[in-house]
Amino acid sequence: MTVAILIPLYLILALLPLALAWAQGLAPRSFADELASGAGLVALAMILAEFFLLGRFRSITRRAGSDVIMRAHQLLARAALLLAVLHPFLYVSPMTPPPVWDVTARTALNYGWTQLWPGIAAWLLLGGLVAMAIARDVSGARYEVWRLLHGLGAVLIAGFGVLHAMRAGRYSADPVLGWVWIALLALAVGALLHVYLIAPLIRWRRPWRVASVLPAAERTWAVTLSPDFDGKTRYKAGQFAWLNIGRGVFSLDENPFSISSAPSAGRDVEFIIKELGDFTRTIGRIPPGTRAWLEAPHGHLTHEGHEDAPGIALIAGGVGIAPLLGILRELAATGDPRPTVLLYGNRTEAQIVNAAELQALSRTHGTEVVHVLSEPPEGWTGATGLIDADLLRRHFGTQARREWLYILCGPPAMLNAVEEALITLDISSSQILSEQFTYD
Amino acid sequence: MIEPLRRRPARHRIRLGVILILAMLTLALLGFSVRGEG
Repeated sequence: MTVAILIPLYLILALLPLALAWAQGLAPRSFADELASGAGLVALAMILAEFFLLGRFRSITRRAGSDVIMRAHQLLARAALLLAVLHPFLYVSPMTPPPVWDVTARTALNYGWTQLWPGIAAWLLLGGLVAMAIARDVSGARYEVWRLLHGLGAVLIAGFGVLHAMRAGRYSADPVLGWVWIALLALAVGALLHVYLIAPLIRWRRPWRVASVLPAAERTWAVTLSPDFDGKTRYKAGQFAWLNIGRGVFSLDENPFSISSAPSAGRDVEFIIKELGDFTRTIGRIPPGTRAWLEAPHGHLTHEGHEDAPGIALIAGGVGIAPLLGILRELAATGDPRPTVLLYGNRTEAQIVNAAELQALSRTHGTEVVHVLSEPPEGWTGATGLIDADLLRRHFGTQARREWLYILCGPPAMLNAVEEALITLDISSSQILSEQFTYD
Repeated sequence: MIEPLRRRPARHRIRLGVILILAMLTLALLGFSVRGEG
């Protein structure tokens, strides 16, 4: 499914209630009243559509990428909030019981407390939920607690919103639109139940255990998991998994991490994890044998399916090396003859993950490994500074390398700069795959 | 200068995609609201 299909699908979902309201052919009211009702209908439909933009549904994220879907989730939630905030203030009709001849409530808004309270509850909760999500990065609230509150809040908002529409709505009083609201609510809650209940039940039959936790660089660990079941988890080099270590299978304590092992290397799966957040701070103390659960694979960051590319450029910032290491290992394991260049940016030398292995890969597989340090030690002879336009031009500025596949993983600022620079080198966007490792 | 849509990597296209979605939603909302005017 491509983005060109996802956008029309989203529009159909977000506009379906408005279209059904339009089709009812009720006598129109003033522009302001109609805009108020329309804003309410679209806001509620957008809120229900948010449940499908969780970054967890592979049919949706396969082409667009989970980080893109999550960003859409955030931006569209803010737009829905804006519409919902405006919705009650746009009405101009008086709030009185309409005269008996006015059966379609054309001249007045007959809103009693029964009709209003679910709307007020949803309205307040939505503002709180979006504000909490935006502030989360700076508030330091525990990710797992936030996620639980976010999910519960979302269900309450959807439920109260639909209740308000059906009790107070002039258009939602229509049985067809009423049933559409109930169906959309059921689908939305079903999507959440799938992620939190059905997917864990499927995972429960495929337990993993921690085989080893080894230091890979400064405050960075290589965590290897072995399956405690027959069979193999299928994934492509460079994809990521939602990982839960040492918790129950239904726990919300799971985080997305890139897989750094090569699929052809066997059944074990390795992750390179940096101590960044609440869970990752404790990663070095996890004893071998600890139970783990994996939901995989996710993500579109892989060289597989790009066999036409004559060469592969891997550009990593910090722990963004994890998926690219998986790709490099797979290229080496399968004897891929295409030329490969790795540009790997770090702040200090101690932060370079698996430096010896990268050196060995450059000898055995012929990968050109270019380390770039922004704080180089005394006597460093490699590249310094950031991975910038000049460095990219030096390595990829030739005509032959314009056709290569470019795979990027790193912090958002680096990705933006590298993508811009590659575009100015006349490299087509269809040859650039990127994924940012901060993910929320 | 605005790059043509097809030349932007997926992560850059997200903003354009969201703007496109919001523009279509706004148009539909306005159409719905003015349908009785005049």
